[in-house]
Amino acid sequence: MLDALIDPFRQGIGQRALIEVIVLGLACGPLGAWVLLYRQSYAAESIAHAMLPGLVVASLAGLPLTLGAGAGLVVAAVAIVFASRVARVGADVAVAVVVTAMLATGALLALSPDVPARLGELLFGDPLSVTSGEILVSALLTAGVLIALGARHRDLALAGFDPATAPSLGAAPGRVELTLLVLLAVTTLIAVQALGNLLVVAIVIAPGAAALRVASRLIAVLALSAGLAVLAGVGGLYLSHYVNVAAGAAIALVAIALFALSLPVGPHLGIVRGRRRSPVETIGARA
Amino acid sequence: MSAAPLLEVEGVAAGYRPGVHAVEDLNFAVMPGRLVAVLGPNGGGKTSLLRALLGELPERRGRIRARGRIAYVPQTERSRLDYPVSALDVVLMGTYAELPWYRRVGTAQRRIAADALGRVGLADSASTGFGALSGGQRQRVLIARAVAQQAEILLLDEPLSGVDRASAQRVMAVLRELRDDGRALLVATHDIQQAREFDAVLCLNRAQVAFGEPAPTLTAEVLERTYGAELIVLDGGRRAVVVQHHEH
Repeated sequence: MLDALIDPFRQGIGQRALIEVIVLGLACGPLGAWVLLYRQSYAAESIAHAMLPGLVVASLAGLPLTLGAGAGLVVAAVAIVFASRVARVGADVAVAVVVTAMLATGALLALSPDVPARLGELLFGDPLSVTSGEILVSALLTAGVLIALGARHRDLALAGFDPATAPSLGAAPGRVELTLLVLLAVTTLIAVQALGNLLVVAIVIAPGAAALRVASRLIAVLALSAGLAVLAGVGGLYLSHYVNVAAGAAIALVAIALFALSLPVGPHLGIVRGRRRSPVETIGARA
Repeated sequence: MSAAPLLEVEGVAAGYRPGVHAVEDLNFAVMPGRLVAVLGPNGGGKTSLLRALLGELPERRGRIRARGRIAYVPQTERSRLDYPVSALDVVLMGTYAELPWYRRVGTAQRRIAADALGRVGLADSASTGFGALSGGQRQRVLIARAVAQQAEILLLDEPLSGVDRASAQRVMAVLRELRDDGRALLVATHDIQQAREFDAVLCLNRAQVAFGEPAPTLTAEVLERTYGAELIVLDGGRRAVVVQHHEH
């Protein structure tokens, strides 16, 4: 039994992958819970997909992937700003058009015969290929994200709960939301290398969604979300090792499975429990 | 009761865009221990007035003088019920502005919040999820948050709408108690009957129409200038009904 648990991590490749998914989970979990509380899961998906052409170009040119993904994000942001200024094109339409265009451009570029064999990793990720340097970058990122989330925790709580009143309570909703989106973009930039362009969204969204179903206090939601994201990462590595499937996809599947498990659990705990009141109370005896 | 008003508004005009005033000609003063109803049609400037008093409107002329902290109480109809916070968590938010970001919420803040929750009669519901409370209870939690802000001046946006009559009476009782502590309360409402129970009424229709004690102020003429075509006067002027389209 112990051997079976240790086996995937006997070699350097497995050990580095283990550290990477734990480190990324600690950042993606709590960040994802905030992204959901701010109803920004569409942004999480858009940010990841808009990076693809940049990733492909960087990979073709032999440049660092982070540089390519960052450039891709800047191009997408500029295109969204311009598209949303066109008459009768709202912001969500602009995002949809630009992100689809970016994803399609990335896919076209990827069909080029010059594309190196690593391209599959750009889409689906490969935590087993991370280097020590990349782990260091991820660790710095996670530390930064957690410090930022901790320092701005009360502002995030205020502006997410009650944006109309937040200014008079000491938090500027616009600035808080921008901070959250910047943290999301930077996290996606780093996590996309291990988890892939299509799958990074799962590790950001699914643990947070499960935590929000089960826990009923903010701190509990954030801690549980971090724990579930780490669990999805580690569980995905086991699945990948023993079933012999791609690690990035296995992690995404475990994350989604954890969310599915939270569906029947939710109603017995947390937020939903309080709603089950007797009809007399509901009518207003305690109002 | 001290003689100085808690809130003085002189020649104030305010709006969202340069040159366009959502509300103007505001001139009134509120003494401590006064409960003021702010009446007016939708788009008549009730919310703009409250936001101008909070200093949140970009365009503002005239003079606003507040001798005390101002707190805003939003409509509970707009509250998020899916947010993972307890009643006490929401009230604690009232203490955040005074707390530097590097300091944790401590016993002092918890005591302030628990006391505020007790003031609105919800001490027993501290750990109940905010979304699990009734509409009237949620409104009282939001009022407790303003109390936790240590505010002397409370601005309430339609605190009685969207709650049943029994809850509305509980909310009114809380408002009267806070007034009796010496606070000044401005309550935006669309209920003219309810406004007659207040100490004063401020009638707005993009500009101040009237301000004073309810009985002499709420004449058929003032009501008509306030509500215009939306008003239907019944019983020879003793009752008035306002036909409003609610924008949400």
